[in-house]
Amino acid sequence: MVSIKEYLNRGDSQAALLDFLSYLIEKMGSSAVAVDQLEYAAFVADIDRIRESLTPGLGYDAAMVLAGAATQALETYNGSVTRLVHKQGREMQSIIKMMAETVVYVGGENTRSVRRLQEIGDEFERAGAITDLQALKGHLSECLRGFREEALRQKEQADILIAGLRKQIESASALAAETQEALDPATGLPGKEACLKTMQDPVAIGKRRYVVTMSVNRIQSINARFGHRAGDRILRFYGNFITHQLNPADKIFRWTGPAMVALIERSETLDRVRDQIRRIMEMRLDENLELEERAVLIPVSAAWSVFQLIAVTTAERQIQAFIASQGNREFV
Amino acid sequence: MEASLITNPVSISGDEAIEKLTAQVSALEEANANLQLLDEVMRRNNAMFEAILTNSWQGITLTSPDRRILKVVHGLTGHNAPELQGVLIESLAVPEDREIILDAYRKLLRRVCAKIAIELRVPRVDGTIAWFSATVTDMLDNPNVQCIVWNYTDITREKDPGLSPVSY
Repeated sequence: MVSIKEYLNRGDSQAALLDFLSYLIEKMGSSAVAVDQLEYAAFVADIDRIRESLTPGLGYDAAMVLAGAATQALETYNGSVTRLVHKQGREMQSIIKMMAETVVYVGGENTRSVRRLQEIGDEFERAGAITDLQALKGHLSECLRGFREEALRQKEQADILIAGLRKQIESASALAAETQEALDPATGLPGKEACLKTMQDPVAIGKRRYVVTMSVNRIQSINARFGHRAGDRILRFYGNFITHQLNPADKIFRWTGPAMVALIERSETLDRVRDQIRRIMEMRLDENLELEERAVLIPVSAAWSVFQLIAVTTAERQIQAFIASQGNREFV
Repeated sequence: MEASLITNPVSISGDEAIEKLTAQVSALEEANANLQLLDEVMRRNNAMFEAILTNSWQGITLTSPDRRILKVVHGLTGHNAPELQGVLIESLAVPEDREIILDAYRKLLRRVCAKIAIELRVPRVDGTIAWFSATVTDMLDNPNVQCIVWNYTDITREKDPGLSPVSY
């Protein structure tokens, strides 16, 4: 290859030198890599300007100055392109790292996912050392393929997990519906059937089972005045009150209408138990009922009786007789 | 209030059992006598109130806060009282006067006042129109009443003195 200096020393014609320089400068422009379109356009415009300055009859010195300017422009442009490529590389790595972290986060505590994604992360680290763009692209493609495979695997796992969870929800819903059926919707207490069943359970040694029957007063009147929702609310209120007053082991049931039954086990005599129940029943209770435009304070009380449970059929008759006797006391 | 007296069924034999049972029977007899006395007093009181109300010029009706009739204690329009239970009280008035009732309930429930006096027209069963002067009282906070109480009198003659006794 002939250098420019040799070319000058040979004393060849000036025109040939200028043509040669023009050719070189043009090639500089056309061979440059266009990374940033604006910078590339500016560089090409500079080169074109320099080349157009190589007019016939231009002296050697002036031609050398223009050649130097073209070289300087190319060096500056190359430096800018290199910085830009490095910057893009860093950005790409940062994006990929962020993606890797995201996928690790999504993977949760799945050990296999963490390991696999860690491997992919290491691959990214290694990609940082690759300066060749083509090689970097190839490496990143590999990494992304790994990502896709891992993402697919995780999706399959998630599908299996979702199917399992759906099954669990279905079975839990069925169980909840079953429990709900057994409970009285107004008070949330178990109903009459559950009460009769519990009466048959064995009694703890040294204890007797007593039946406390309660009939909440004025429910018919409250229903008539404020609607059935208000009546249900009063029953719920009374059910909660009794539940909190009796022992945690005592069982409370919604019988029918305004009647509730508590099955309690005590070692004391009937008279003592009756005194205990009387103290509870004599408490003054009020429930604030919110109407549309105002609140009304409803006094809540109940008629009650206590007897010792001997036989289930007798107990059921006694409870029914007590409830019937209370029905006549209701008035609107 | 405990409503029944149930015997503790712990089995006792001999004289002690007989003595206890006799004592319980006596207690039950005494309780029963008291109840009979109470029942008689209540029956007489009810009869007395019924007689007083029957001859009263004043009508009394109880309604819920949503204006439905709970009970016509003493009616003046000739309607069958039990059939009116659950009926919206304004539906008994002539259409032009219904808003007066709605407005009265609005004021009572918002506690603008506890008692309100209104005049309104109500068709009787025989088709004639009666004028009533009514006092509507909010007794929702009275635990023994807990409703809106209507006390009303027929003022048709005052409103239209020219009415013949037959029309009146």
